Amino acid sequence: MVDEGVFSILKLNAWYGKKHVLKEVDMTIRANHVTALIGPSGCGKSTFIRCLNRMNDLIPDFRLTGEITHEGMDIYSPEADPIEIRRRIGMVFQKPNPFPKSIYNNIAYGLRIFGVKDKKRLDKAVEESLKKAALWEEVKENLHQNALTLSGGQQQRLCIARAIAVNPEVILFDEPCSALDPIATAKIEDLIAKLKKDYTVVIVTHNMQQAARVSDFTGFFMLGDLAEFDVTEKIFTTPANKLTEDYITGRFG
Amino acid sequence: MTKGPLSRNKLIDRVFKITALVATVVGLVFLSVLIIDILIDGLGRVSWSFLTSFPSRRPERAGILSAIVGTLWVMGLTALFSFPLGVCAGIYLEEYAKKGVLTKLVEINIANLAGVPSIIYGLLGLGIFVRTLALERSVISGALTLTLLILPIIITTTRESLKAIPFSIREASYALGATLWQTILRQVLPVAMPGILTGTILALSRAIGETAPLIAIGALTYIAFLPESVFDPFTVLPIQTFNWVSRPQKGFATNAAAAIIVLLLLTLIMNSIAIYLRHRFQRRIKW
Ligand SMILES: Nc1ncnc2c1ncn2[C@@H]1O[C@H](COP(=O)(O)OP(=O)(O)O)[C@@H](O)[C@H]1O
Ligand SMILES: [Mg+2]
Repeated sequence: MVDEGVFSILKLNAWYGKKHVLKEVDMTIRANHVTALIGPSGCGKSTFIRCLNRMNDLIPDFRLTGEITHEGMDIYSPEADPIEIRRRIGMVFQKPNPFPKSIYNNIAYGLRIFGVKDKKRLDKAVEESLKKAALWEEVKENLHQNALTLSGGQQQRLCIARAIAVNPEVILFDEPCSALDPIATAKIEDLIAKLKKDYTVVIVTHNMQQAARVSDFTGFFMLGDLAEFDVTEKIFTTPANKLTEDYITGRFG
Repeated sequence: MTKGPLSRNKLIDRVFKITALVATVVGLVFLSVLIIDILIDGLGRVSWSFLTSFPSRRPERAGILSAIVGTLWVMGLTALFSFPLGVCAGIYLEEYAKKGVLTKLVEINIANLAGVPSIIYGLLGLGIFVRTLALERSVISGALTLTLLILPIIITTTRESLKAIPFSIREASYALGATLWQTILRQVLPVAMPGILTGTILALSRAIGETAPLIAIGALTYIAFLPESVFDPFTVLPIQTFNWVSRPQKGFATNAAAAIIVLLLLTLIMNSIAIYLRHRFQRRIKW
């Protein structure tokens, strides 16, 4: 990885209290590509991805060292504003978490908090993001229905639409399909493959086939170390690290 | 099969069930007797003229107009003061205060304050509002005193309601670039509001029956006029009742029973609103 990426991560270490969960992680994440993060559970994938948009700031005894730059800006420098960072780097969580509001208001929320009041602009953003999230056809008649009445897969696509609506540059996915059935999962995977045209995508998954299907680059985490990071095809065919090979062939994890 | 631990456990279970049933029945029976007794004594007396007359020396001409109006004034003001104050304090403690020794101390104190006997609040109100602030024995002194009384309950309810909101909602909001304040105001508070309102109404329905603190600040027992401003003297339903109960004539005892019916009705209405809100709250939120 010689070329500059949107994210460059240097010697990242992270702790919850005294527990050291990420160790000396270096990674470069390329724009308009899908980067998958795999590894056994508890190895620090979620912690890592949540460092990228400062979501870990919300955890009281979390601490990190090292450097994460996004588009050349150190996102942990004192001048960096976590609010601005999270708007530019969106996130979709493991469990669909729509607000207990209408579909429309779920999506409009992100724009409203940045002062957009114009009804036409909101309508347009709602429609466009629902279309990009492949949900428009299913809900266009019921935009004012409560989002909690949607199925799990629809809720997750709504969460993706909600993230898209604020026009981010990067979308982080933390095991977005682990609570979904195979059909809903397939829809989300299709979607992710399409999203990389407009966005940089980072996805945590513990489903190896999913990583192989959707991603261009794959990082394999093991007990807080980034054991291997390479082009997806290489990771899944000729991994350099014995641990990676054992993991993807299902010998543990 | 008759002597094993299983059959013993079954026996204990049966005994416990019967004990609990008896306890419930005893409670219900006493309550019903009490209510029926009051209804028999006072229901015939509840009439439009009873509701719209001032107290009088002659029991058959006396009414509870000044007490009802006083109760409404005091409760209205109490709600006006205690709700915003309690909710803001609750939000601050739950969302903003740094978790440290000082916050812990404040929290423990608030929890304890909720259990302090109400007469103590009356004495506090007498010292601060009536004397020091020279508000006299006025509607506003009464309302401020009752505000102190229920503030700890509202603060605690607010915090509990905020705590009950799943963290995933906050995460979703922060991940879109919302600030803490936006997240609280637009996502957390609306969902927590039915819970907060329920708690506040229950607190108010406790305050509506309070007599001791208002007697302590010197609320009058005989008022033949309506308060025209918050600085006027007042009486409330429980005090009026208290006054009538202590009279020797039979007619006043009937009046007292009738006033109690009205007070019970008011409390019942408030509690129904609280139950309605809670019901809606539970129905709407299912993650
Ligand atoms: N909020 C937290 N407080 C303390 N420890 C945590 C917290 N979140 C995660 N951990 C610990 O950090 C390690 C890495 O967790 P995580 O990043 O969630 O792993 P993964 O997503 O790969 O399953 C685990 O051992 C987990 O128990
Ligand atoms: Mg995880």
